[in-house]
Amino acid sequence: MDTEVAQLVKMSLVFHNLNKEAEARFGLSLVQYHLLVTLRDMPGCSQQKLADAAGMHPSTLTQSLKRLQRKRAVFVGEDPKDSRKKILSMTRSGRELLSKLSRGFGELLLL
Amino acid sequence: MKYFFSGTGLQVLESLSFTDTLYAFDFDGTIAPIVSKPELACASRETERLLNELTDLVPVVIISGRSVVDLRGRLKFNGKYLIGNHGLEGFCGRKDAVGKAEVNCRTWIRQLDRARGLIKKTAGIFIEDKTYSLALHYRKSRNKKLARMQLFSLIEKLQPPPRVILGKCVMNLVSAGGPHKGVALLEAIMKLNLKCAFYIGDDDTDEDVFSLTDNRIITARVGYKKTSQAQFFLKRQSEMNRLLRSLIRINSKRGS
Repeated sequence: MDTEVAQLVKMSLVFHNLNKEAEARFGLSLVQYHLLVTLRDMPGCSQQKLADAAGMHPSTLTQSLKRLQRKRAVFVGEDPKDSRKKILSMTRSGRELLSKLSRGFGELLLL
Repeated sequence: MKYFFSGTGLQVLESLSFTDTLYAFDFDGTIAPIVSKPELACASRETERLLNELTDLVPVVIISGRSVVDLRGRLKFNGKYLIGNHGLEGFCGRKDAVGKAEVNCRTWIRQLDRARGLIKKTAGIFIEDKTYSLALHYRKSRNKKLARMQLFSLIEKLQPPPRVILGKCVMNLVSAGGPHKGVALLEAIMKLNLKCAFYIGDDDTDEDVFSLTDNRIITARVGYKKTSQAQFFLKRQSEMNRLLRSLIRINSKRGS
């Protein structure tokens, strides 16, 4: 079991570094990329629906969304059906960031 | 409901262009303005031109209560996808449901013919036979409330009982259990292998789409209605060309 745990920890560290490197080089972490790709196909969805689709806990999602909002990659607007709720959609800047990381993904894996 | 040409509406509209989206439109009251005689309904040349320009960029479908033959006659549409009779006809049509709907319509027409005396008393009511569904119009009636009541009393005696979809001064009779515009739109998304859809319509028959609880569909209604399930609205049909121009502009930038 010790070996398995050690491998899991190593994998987690590799992913953490890759995530940081992606954000530094392309302006988007891998987690943010996953969120944006999910959101791209669900324009105008709620935060809860996005969390379900992305397989993330809503509180984790909130943090990532705040970062994406700061990058102007995500638009947060009032839900037209219920003003107490919010809807999300990807912006043009978000799409540009997605393309940038898609193009550079191979380069990232070679690091 | 939120006005479409607000910040949120335009932002959502733009985000639809980042994925594979189907753009679906109702005909009467949406593509074409409402007129007193349904047989005179047609889209303006500019709307037709814009619709065809949009069709060159993205998948477009017209989903109407009219029959496909009728639609083809009144819209010069370059697109491949026309869905008629509230989802029964078109590329998503099912042969068994179509056959059943036609038989039901013949039966209802015979029953309505027998009650013609009652219909005559209320001037302005006329029946439009769309082969697979019926439209009972009362737009020309001077006493619309009475006409509506008389039509309801006629319809409740029909066998087999139809599904009644209320429209603007019209009652549409379709076979119960048959597809509706919502089903037709979902089938179209699936068959065309697309991820999202935008739908705009103007009356109660479109509520079958507006009330779908599907994340992939963005809906808009022509005319504000408090009880509508649509997300966005246009103030009037004359804003359609502005919407089409926005869609063309946004989707022209898809590759850039």
